[in-house]
Amino acid sequence: MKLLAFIHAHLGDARGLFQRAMVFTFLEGLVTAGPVIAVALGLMRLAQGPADTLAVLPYAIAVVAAVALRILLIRLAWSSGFRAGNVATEAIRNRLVGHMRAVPLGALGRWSAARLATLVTEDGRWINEASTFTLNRLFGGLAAGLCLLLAAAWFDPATALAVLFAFGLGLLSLPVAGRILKGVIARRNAELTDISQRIGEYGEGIAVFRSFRAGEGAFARFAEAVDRLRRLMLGYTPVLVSLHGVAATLMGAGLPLALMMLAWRGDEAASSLIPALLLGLAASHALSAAVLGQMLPFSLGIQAEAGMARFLAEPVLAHRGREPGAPLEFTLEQVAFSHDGKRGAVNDIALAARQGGMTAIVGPSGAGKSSVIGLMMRFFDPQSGRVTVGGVDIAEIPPARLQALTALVNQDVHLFRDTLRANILLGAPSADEARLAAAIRAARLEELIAALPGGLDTMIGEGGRTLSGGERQRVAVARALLKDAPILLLDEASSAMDPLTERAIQQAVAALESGRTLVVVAHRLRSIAEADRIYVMDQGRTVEEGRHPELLALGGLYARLWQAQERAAGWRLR
Amino acid sequence: MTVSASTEALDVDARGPVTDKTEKAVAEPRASVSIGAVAVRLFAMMRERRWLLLLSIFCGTLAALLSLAPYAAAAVALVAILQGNVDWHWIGLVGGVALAAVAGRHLFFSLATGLSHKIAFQTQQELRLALAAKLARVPLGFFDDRSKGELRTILLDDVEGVEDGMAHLVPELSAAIVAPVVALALLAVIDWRLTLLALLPIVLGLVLIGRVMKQGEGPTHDYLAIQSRMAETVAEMADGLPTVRAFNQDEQATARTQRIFAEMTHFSDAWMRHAVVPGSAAQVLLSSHLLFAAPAGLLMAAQGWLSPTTLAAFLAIAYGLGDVFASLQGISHRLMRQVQLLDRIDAVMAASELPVSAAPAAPADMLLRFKNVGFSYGARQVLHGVDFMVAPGRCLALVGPSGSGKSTLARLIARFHDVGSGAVSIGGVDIRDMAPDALNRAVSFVFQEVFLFAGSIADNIRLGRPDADDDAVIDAARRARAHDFIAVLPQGYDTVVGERGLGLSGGERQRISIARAILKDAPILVLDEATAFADPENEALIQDAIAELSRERTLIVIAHRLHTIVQADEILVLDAGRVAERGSHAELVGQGGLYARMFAAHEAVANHRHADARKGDDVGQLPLSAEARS
Repeated sequence: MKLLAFIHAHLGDARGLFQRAMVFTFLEGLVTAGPVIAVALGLMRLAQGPADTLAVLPYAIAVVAAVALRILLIRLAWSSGFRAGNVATEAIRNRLVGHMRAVPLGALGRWSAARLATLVTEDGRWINEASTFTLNRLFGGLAAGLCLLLAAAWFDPATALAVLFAFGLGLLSLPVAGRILKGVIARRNAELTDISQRIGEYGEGIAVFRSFRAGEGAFARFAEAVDRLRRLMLGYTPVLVSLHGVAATLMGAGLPLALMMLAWRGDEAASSLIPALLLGLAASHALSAAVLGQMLPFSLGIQAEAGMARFLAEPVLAHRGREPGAPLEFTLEQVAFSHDGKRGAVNDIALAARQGGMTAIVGPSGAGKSSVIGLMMRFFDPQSGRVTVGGVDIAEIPPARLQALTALVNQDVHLFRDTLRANILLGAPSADEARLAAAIRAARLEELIAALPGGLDTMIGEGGRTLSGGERQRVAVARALLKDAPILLLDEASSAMDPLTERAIQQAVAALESGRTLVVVAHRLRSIAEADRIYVMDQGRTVEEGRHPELLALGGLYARLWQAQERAAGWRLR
Repeated sequence: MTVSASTEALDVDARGPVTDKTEKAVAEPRASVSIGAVAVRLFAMMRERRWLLLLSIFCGTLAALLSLAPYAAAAVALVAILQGNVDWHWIGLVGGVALAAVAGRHLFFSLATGLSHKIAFQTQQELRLALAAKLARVPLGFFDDRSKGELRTILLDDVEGVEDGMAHLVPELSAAIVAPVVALALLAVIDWRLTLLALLPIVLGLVLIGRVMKQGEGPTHDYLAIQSRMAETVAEMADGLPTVRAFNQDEQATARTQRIFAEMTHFSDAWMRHAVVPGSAAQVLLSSHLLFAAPAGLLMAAQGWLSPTTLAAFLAIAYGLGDVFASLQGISHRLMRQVQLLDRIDAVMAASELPVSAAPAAPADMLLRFKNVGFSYGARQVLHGVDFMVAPGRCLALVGPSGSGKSTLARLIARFHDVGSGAVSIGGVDIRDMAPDALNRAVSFVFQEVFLFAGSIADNIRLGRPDADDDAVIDAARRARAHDFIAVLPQGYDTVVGERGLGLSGGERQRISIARAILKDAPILVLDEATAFADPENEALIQDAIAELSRERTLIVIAHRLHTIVQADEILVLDAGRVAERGSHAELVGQGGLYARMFAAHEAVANHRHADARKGDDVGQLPLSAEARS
């Protein structure tokens, strides 16, 4: 019923349409019972003694009329119901996307991009399915079944009771069988992980195995795992197949039970038993069809709703509407933060980036350098301590304002399936041609654009021209130039490209750096040797800080890293 | 095995689920063609287990027959009541038998499904073995075109998915076809005139569906198209969320999704209005077996053409017909999902294999020679007339912009692909004429991507030489500068690594792969220099390990950091698949061509300082507006 409430809450103006659809569906369900009732009454009339055409004609007409009325009602129900369902689905999808923009980016780490996309598309489709078809069907089918059951009870309560008993038993067995199935499958899957792992490994590693002439051994291990898999699956088959369809079987027992009950009672055979049995049969059929036929889409709808509700429960970024003060200095004050709440990514760190200066963060991989950038951008909030800009806690500044203050340039550049122009203009949609041209020139993109068939209006990304890593980096620089935020956070690319490309990127970034507060996460220590302040991180802590000569003289981690790097730079093959 | 709610085709909603997807399966023209083909393919795959299959079909048929029991029992009871002299003992017995039949149906349906699963599991096993054997025979280049995850998915998930088709096809098909056919036969025996009338609504319904589908073709097509466009747009937006968030001042990025959702509603409305709602009448007709038969039966009985007893029996059995169309739709949807899986499996099975020479020749020495080599990926020629020679123990460096063909060239040495024209030879023997094993023994590869399988570190190193003893493994690790970090692990060399084992850093993995290559001890080493920066200390260790590995071997190196190869015996500069320049470092720098430019850029990159522009060096102030700056 949470599913129904969820859909109902997003209907907006279409609430009336939805209610109308439900009413029509209910009526349609009632009318579905019509032909059976009519023909059953007709049969009873025939059983009571000789009847002429005129005597049964009303029943005959009623059958045709009921079907005709049903055709009309189902049409009315579907046309308003579908419309309402589509409205609700659109509202839900928009709400999900809206929420994606409002939660901390760090929270999105728990929800992979692919999962979020399925939430909107696939799960959205099941919500759509539920709001258009499934709920209508279920509701209509149950209405028809109950109406038939009531009619049967009118002629013979015992028959109706037997059918209801079997149906109820079947209904109760659903969650029980479902729970047992779930348990068995969980147990099987636990045993499966290791085997799956071995099977998948063959696909991933066969090239390496072969190049070390170990292909045959790998194949033998694979064959053994595959055989184990077959035996494991086979072992669980009896319990799984016998649990399936238990509900259907129980529900199918309605009429046989009714017959046995009548026999046990052993009354005089009244002609009212004729409609009772026919109606009981029809009721049993309609009820089980409604429940079992809609079970799969219904449970998928419930799962979809649960996933959406979980995501919508992610808290959004709060703020107090405060403006940052001046000067625009970034500080981290005794900040601690960890992604999983256990291992510390950043521990008790203190750091200050002065306005107009260059601050560098260095350290071995895994030291927590990128987490510091994430904290400054408020991708996640610290567990303790605070991050301030211009003396104000960034948790009190409106997220949009904070976004406008900072530009991040890192290795991940996302391009949208759109023109190159639109992709660059993302930085400032209203920029005029002159500003755009200046940014393109400074980002060293002119040559690329000249080589593209459609110039700036060439489609980029899937289906269009794909850009190389170096070209993407420069698009990111152009965007950041247009955005023109006073603080630049630079997370240096950690993989080398060919030297010509790499040089072009450096020059583009240099244009971006000019006149801004700069925070750099650097891999090449030489490039930050002139920073105003260098923070050396190790295992989530700042272990050293100072200027290059001071740190070298200290003879600690920085000095060691520096020497290793100088040694590597002088290294020759042979 | 899947847990789906509708294994029971007979119990599918009598009013017919025109769901999103089933409608689609019917609406797409190719669906109707391939469903039969898929069923035939699945049966062909199971052919080997003919007897089990027949047994499964037998059980499925029996289950279908038994499923009619409640209807038959009702018919018997109605006849008895109408005839007046009811023997309750007999009716009770009928009820009891029907109850037993319901239970028996469950038993036989489970048996049919269980047997089908047994067949499916065996067939899956064969399929996986066939795929794995195929992967052992394709050229190594086959793996470059596919992500590792892709093959994993095919071996695991795609083969897994095929089970759904194989294991459920027989039981469901027999339930969907046998039961209605038997019901129809019973009806015809009772009264053939009424049987024809009972079929009439089904015929009308099908005609109507056909017409509606034709009419709704346009909207259905639009609807399917907008569905895939929406999926693309949303996936793209989710992927780019950080970017969207960083730049979304005017909400222009999320406006895209809002627009597409609105369009989705629009097209979905149109599809439902034109293709679904008009079909509602057909849905009603397909399940209204009584529409003509019941009124006609009543009138005929009143006229005395038919006894009420016969009519009652007919009506009860007619319920057993169910909605044939709906259950077939359900099955066709299930089979449609198989098409893609089978296609992907077929694509692997159809890959061409590496030709193996019938009379392999042994090379005299390790002189590596490329003779006028050309190579194409499909229509795209990536190497043109490459010609060079590397004497045993010498070092050749491959340099060039990305996409110039360096990696392809290096891979040809180990027959990842066979050359398109010209020849690669070792010691005077064309590598195509060498036994694959011999070639493998001659050439080692060290790539930056390292594969560790689930097993101990020692086993992973031992991959280089399976018969190496512990001392040899430790010695290799020591020389690869890996011993120190391994020794301090709690379990040392017995530490389990791999996907679910201990996570090692990139630099550590690199050194394990170098230890492997040291153990393998092949005379020719192909080295793809890592492009990713490890931290400086790791970097230095890797370099030491490589120096150790490359000692006294022929070395072909794909170089990214040009200073490392200044002492190479020869440098080959590739540009767009051709050798643009060649010579020693000093010669090439002297020529002032592509290499010289690349080297100058490399030096500049290495000596770059951030925020230099502030000192007014090589970049001027930009004419940017100051609106956002304030």
